[in-house]
Amino acid sequence: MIDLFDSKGVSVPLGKKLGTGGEGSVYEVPAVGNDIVAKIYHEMVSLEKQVKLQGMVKVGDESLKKIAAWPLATLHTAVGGHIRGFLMPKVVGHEPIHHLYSPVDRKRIYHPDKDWAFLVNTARNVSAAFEAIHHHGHVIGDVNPNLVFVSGNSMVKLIDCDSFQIFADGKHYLSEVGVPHFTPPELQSHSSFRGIKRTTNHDNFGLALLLFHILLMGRHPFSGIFSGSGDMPLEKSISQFRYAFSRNAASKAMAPPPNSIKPEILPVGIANLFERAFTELGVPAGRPTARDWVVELDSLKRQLRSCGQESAHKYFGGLSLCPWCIQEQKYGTVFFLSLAATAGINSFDLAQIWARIIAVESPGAAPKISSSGFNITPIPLPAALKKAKQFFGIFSVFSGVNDSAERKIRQDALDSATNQMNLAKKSWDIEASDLKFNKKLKELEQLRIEYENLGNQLTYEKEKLQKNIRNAQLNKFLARCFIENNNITGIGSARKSVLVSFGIETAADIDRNTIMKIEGFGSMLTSNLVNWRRNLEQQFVFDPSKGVDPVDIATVNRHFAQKRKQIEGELLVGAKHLNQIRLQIMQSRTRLLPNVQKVSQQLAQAEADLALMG
Amino acid sequence: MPTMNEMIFLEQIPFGTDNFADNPEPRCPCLLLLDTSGSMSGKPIAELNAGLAGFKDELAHDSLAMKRVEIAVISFGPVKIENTFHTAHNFFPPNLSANGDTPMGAAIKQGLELVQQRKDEYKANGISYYKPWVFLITDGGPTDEWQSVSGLVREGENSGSFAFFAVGVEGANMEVLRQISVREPLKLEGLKFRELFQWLSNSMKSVSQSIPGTAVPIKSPQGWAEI
Repeated sequence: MIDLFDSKGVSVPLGKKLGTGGEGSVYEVPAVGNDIVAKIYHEMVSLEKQVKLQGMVKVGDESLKKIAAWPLATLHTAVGGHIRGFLMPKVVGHEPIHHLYSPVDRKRIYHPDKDWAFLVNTARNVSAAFEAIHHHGHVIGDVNPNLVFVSGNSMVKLIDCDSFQIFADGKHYLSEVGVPHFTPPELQSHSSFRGIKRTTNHDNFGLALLLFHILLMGRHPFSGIFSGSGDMPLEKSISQFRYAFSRNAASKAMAPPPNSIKPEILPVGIANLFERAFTELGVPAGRPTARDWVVELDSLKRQLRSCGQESAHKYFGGLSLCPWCIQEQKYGTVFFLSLAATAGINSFDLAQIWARIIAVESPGAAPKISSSGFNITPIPLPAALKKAKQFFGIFSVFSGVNDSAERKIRQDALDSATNQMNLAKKSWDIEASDLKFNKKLKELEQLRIEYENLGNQLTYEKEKLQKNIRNAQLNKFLARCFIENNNITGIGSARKSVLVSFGIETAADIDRNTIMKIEGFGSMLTSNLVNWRRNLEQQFVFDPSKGVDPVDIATVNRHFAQKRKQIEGELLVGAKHLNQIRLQIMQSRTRLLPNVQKVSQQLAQAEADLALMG
Repeated sequence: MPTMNEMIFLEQIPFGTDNFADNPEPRCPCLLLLDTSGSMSGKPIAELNAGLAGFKDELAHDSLAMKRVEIAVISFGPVKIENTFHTAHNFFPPNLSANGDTPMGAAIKQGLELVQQRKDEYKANGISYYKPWVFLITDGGPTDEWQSVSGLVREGENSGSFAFFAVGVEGANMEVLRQISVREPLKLEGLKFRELFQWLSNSMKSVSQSIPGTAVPIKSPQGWAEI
């Protein structure tokens, strides 16, 4: 890896690589700061680009650094050498805007709880970020879905700033890249952006495109149904101003895609801005500016309304019906998850989950197995033995008839059958009984109790923190009350000196047992001191506002959040596991039963056989 | 004419990311025509399967490509549609097994029909799309009629309807591939299917986010092809 230095010649060691793009890689720079990263180009940077980067560093002010990953300092391959990269603020907790404007990503993966009000606010903030760039005389140039990043509270940051067109030292440093689907009509015919000076009016086309995507469920305004002949790729559609959602789309042989959300759900003012941005009206300088958008979107924000049927539906109050309800009813398209549905993703409905768990049918106790109930015919005794037994009748036992050989055979058979029966019983008890099922159910029950108790425990832990902080504050207060400066009955300056020699200087140090041990301090004087402390304690006023260290609270919260997540996870799959166990048990019963029956019958037979011996 | 309420029942609602309302991003279709004839059995088919699985994982790293790239798979030996066009999210790599002959002509024909069908769906739904890619991988030569198919490929390439790539695994009849494909067929180095699919995934990512004017920045297939 190359050695890098900042413009003052200080070495800047690179840390972990965070990512690689087409142009360069981004690294951590722990030596500089945790909120700073370095972008290092794969290849040597042209002289012009080097001057541009220096210019960017020079003109970068606080407002730019706040909304963009703006170059903060250049990085050189040698002290005073070529520029190979730069430092910039790290963009954390933000995601590319297409994660938000794509309904599938928003609902399923990234922002299931974000409603249209959030989208409107994001659109407003995107406009504000563009306004900040334009206000400084710069142009973004390469507007695209991976340029804008949004945070969980709709704050916006722009990345890839080194590709912007920069105005510095009276000169425009060009942006030479672009994405065709976001390039304005007047630039579509160019085969390359090399040497082309971009204007804010170009940017305003890209901005309007982004805002259209954000407000209208990820649709591209130039993607629609073309009724002419041949293909109508996006680039062509843009270059021919075929805005598919326009009021005059039909005159361009275009129509919006079937079942799509249309600009009619927006205030007329905003729909008009889109008309101007996407049609011939917008060229050469007529597209709405970032500032125009901020004004209109702020106005829309004030006119938002919650749907009476579904509070997750937010819409423009000028409409008579909720457009999201209409979409759901007419086309079955659910653009915003209801709070109940979101609950399945974000929070956790214990009652519902538990109901699912206890709904799993128990396999019940295993059928009892025994050797009785079989219709058994004992094997007849050998003829000679039978005869002897008949002759001696019940006295055969004393008669000296030798049946030991036969008895042994039958006894052995019984032993063997008993043995087999025991084995079969054992596996039957383990695999066919409801033991495993009940055990799992009990485990889940424990988890449920633990889960229900989490809230209490969290409160307890927090109270403990709170209590400790009260003690800490009290101790601080008492430690400021010096015995030396106070009149305490019976404690003169000599006794005060003695106390000091034992390390007892303030009210905080006073403890009955410690003082009683000091010579000359009887119960009387000790009580005086303890009472003085007690009086002070009563004067103490706890200030909860400057209480617990936020780090401690965060730790406790995190610990509980983890615990909660873990239990939720186990309970969520609880019903499934229980059912699996149930099925296993049922299968075991079917599998084991033939053997159990066989063995039981053998045992019954062996028992009957031996019984015949008398 | 059905009433509004009846409309709810008539309207078909597709599944997953392929629901155009949920994901109106422009699509980048990619058709894989994969030889599963008997000669592919053993290590080659195992490596091909591993490559397919890796293909999805690679695409998953790019959340924009995930919404744009659609994959369909047709295996031949005999011709079978393994997957119709689905976004990478809903693409579940098939587990291919090798047996039979090499009906390459029929496979290409059916594949091109599948591409046309998908394009019609895009158009009907107002969804934009990039030029489809057709990727043929074989270790042999066609055992059926292929001459007419070569005309279809040429026609499609010339009108810009799709881009057709042919990749020959060891043993492939490169001469026939050359006659089918307008572009020079590539010869796979050993069994580097994983590298091939990694390259394909990177290329699809680039295609789905290309920069105008410059030709699509596709890296050289060095690393898996003998060039």
